[in-house]
Amino acid sequence: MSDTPQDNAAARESVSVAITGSGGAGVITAGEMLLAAAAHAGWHGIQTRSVGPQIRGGEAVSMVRLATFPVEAHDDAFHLLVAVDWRNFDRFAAEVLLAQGGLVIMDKAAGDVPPPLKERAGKILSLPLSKAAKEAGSRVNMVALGCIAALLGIPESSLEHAARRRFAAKGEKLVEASLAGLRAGRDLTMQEDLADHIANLRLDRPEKPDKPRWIVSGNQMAGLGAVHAGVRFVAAYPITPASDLLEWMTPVLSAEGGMLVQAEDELASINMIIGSSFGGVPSMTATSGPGLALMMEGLGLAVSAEIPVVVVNVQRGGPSTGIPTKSEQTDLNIALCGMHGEAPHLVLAPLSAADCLFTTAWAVELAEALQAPAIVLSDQKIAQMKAISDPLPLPAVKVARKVSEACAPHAYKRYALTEDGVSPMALPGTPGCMYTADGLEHGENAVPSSRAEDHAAMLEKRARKLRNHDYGPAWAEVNGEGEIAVICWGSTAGPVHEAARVLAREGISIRTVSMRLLSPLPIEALEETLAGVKTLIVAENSHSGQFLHYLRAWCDLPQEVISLKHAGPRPITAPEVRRAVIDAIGGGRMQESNIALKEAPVS
Amino acid sequence: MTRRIQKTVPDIETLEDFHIAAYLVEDECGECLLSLAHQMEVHHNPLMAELFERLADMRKRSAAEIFAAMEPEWRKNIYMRDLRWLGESCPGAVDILSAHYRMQPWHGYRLALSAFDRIHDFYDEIAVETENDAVRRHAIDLRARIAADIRALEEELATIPEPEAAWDHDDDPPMIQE
Amino acid sequence: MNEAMRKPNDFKSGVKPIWCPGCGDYGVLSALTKAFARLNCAPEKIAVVSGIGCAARIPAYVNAYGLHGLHGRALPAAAGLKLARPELTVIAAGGDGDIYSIGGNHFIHACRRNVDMTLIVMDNRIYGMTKGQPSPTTEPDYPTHLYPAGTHVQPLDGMSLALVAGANFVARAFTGDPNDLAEIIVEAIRHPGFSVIEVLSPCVTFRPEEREWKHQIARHALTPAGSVAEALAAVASAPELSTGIVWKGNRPPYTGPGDQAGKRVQDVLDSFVA
Repeated sequence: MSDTPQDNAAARESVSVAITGSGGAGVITAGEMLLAAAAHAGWHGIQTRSVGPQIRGGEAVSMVRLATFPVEAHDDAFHLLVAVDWRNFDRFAAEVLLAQGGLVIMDKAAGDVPPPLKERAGKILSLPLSKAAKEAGSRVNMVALGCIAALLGIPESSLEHAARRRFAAKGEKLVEASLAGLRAGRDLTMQEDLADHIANLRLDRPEKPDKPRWIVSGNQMAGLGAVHAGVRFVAAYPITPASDLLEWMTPVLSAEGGMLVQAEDELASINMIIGSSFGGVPSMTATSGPGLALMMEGLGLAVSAEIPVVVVNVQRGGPSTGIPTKSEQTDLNIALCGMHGEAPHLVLAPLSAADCLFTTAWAVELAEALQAPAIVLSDQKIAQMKAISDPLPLPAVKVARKVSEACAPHAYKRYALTEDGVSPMALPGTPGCMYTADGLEHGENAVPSSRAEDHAAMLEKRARKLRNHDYGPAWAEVNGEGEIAVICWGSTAGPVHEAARVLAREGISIRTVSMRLLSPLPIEALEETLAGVKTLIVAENSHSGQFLHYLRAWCDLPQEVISLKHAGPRPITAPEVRRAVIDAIGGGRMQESNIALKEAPVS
Repeated sequence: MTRRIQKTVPDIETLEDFHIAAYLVEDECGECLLSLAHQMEVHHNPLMAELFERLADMRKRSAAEIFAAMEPEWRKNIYMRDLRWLGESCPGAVDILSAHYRMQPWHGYRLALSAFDRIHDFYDEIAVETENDAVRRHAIDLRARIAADIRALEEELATIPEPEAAWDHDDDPPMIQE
Repeated sequence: MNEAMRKPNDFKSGVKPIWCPGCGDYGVLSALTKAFARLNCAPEKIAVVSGIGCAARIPAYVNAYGLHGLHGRALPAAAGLKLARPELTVIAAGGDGDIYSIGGNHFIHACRRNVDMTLIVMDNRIYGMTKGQPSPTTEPDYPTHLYPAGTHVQPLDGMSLALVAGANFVARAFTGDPNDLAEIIVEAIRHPGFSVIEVLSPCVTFRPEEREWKHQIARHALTPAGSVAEALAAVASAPELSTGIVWKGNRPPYTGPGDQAGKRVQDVLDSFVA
């Protein structure tokens, strides 16, 4: 790879395609079907989208990366861009960077190609996509998908399988129409002389074509993890990009004997789940930044009253309403420090769409075991990404809350100062143990107290239970060896892992530390992991470098620390990480640079 | 002191009805006075806490005796009946809305007496109006007991000076809590 | 003594209230314990959920499970508990500021959601715990330190709001008659769905003139109406300090969204296969 993304032979094991269009062209569907067909044929890949602000008919781009190896993040450029039209394409220009020499296919009626694309494109091909769709009795997105599938070498049987899956419920007529469109697209493509491009776009054969594959989104996996771990009560208020998590959970919860209640606002959401969890039922809500801000007071109550709850916070661009449809890793500060007073709690972050399954289930396990709130920092990127994955095993979590047996009147101490800090919780219905859970500071017997000794003892108890818990090895994914390490958290793990893989092939070994447990910060484990590291690159999707500042506040970091950071909605990419490592080897000087912004200015 | 006589209890026909009603009246009074004792304790008025506790004890003892005289079967029905009293609140209820954290024995006696008077009126009304001889006998007995308690309190009250005009004055403002 | 019989005292926790002597909330505590005895509930099967304020201190004084949570948020916490543990008797309690002001949105949605629980609003028309600021039920011309010339803002009519928003049982009571209040609580708990009891509960510290309410109460001037419209008309035309049950509706209580035609975890995994 070089500074300027090139369309090169590497594309054969990984190819990136973007499909854009507006006004109901159906490009999101086309991208999802491309991913489904590729998965059916045994490839790996991801699909994401970027959309305009309209509810219907807006401009949209569907971004697909397919590969012969597991991928969790996009490449830094697209080898093929198919445009049904160019309306408002500039909105995505920074997210859909065409590789130098890449191929652009556009509808004949689409109008002028945006100038930056014209410069980068190796070939621009105008095809009568709409016309062919009309003639085939189909729709333009199917014709575009037929073009793409032909170029990439997606087997027609897999494409047909994907089409049938997608449209079967709507009737055979629609299935046939879509198949006709796909064939029309293939035929259009085959008429052209694209031999050079096909050589670059055609994917290598998948390693294990017969292995069944799943297509998962982070939101679905978070929901699955929560229900699998025993969550049976969810209260939530709709918010992008968490709503589809809730929609996935509602029917599954009802089948499992639980329920999802749509609350009147996020204040109600958090307090409803505090109520249900006080009643003994593992409980969860899901939200995004603005909702998390509203929940902070409730989370403080859960800390003080020691009531386990899980909040899956699907991050989006902030502050305020920010960029609701796009990703950023900037709710770290509020998740760690948003509560007033001293409020120890759990903060976890899934490392990929698939990892949302494990991390959310683990969050439920930890919250229940430690009688504390857990915030899971997912983000729009992995939450709404469609990712091809090997079938995922349901994680072996042990969800068990320490509860109190019936006891003699006035003998029960809800907040007994135990050695590990966890006190047996009496659930309503337990005779003899009646107590009032309180957000007022209290003594061991739960009676409100403003005494300095009680406050000190309870603060220490609530800190101790989190501090002394054995979190095991899941706190981070640690891979590789070397004097250069890249540390990241949550969804930035995908590009970091890919960069390490590319670097390894280039003969450069680095250590990667992808953190899943952010609070309590496993300081000892982290410092042990970084032992021998001379240069640490801190990668995060944040303008201000929230993660770096957090690490600096608590850990002895290696002497040289490089901050690789930029704001969303552009994610940190594998090439950016690789560049940072190469620079570190060449540079060897302490720096804080906004590498990626220099490389590809947004405006 | 004026005594308002009104029909307080809808249907006291049997001895069981009467015992339960009498128990509830005496117990209500005792509980109200005990609550006042606790209020005074929390608000650091030990003199009144002690007085209210003593006054509560008078009615609690009476309630305990009525309870002891009940057939065991009646006892489990005590709280199963409609708690509402005709006209206004339970004759044993003390007007706890009149309490004040700086109140003095003069207030306490008068507060208790107004409730004791209503209890007296309750027994009196039943003694006069009932057609059940056994109920009448018991009502007359209990009327005599509360009358004796009232006399005792009135004698004690007579020895107590009226509070000064600014008895409820507090230099400090109310304290802000939550 | 028969073990099965429960006395009001069985429902007192033994924690002595910090309410001012003379406070109306003592009458509510007394009524609540009487109602529980009358219903013969097991204390461990009851939960009292509250927010913040003088009135919201009540859970700690009741021998039952309690949740003393956040200002304004008693109702969602209570709803979550009742939906998750439907066998419990759930009471939500708070003051006029807690329920009608900071918790106003939850009040509206609790009425329309109609979860089977009982709300007791102790209305003293003032913020007591923060030293006498005007509340949503304070009269527009009532002088406070914050507004010596009054707020000039119309008081909120909680009873009418409850009726319009869909509460299934609406009543007003006076704390000076704890037995009457206890009976209304008993009826409210027995009535399916969301029950609202507004209790006139004087604040003797910041509004000592409310002690006079005992002479101004129009006892049982409100009686169950035949329709919500009639109930609204009754509330509007009755004397200001009227008590009584004005509405007993027949909406089915909300117990959750019910069957949503979903699959269990083990069966839903197939849907992920490409």
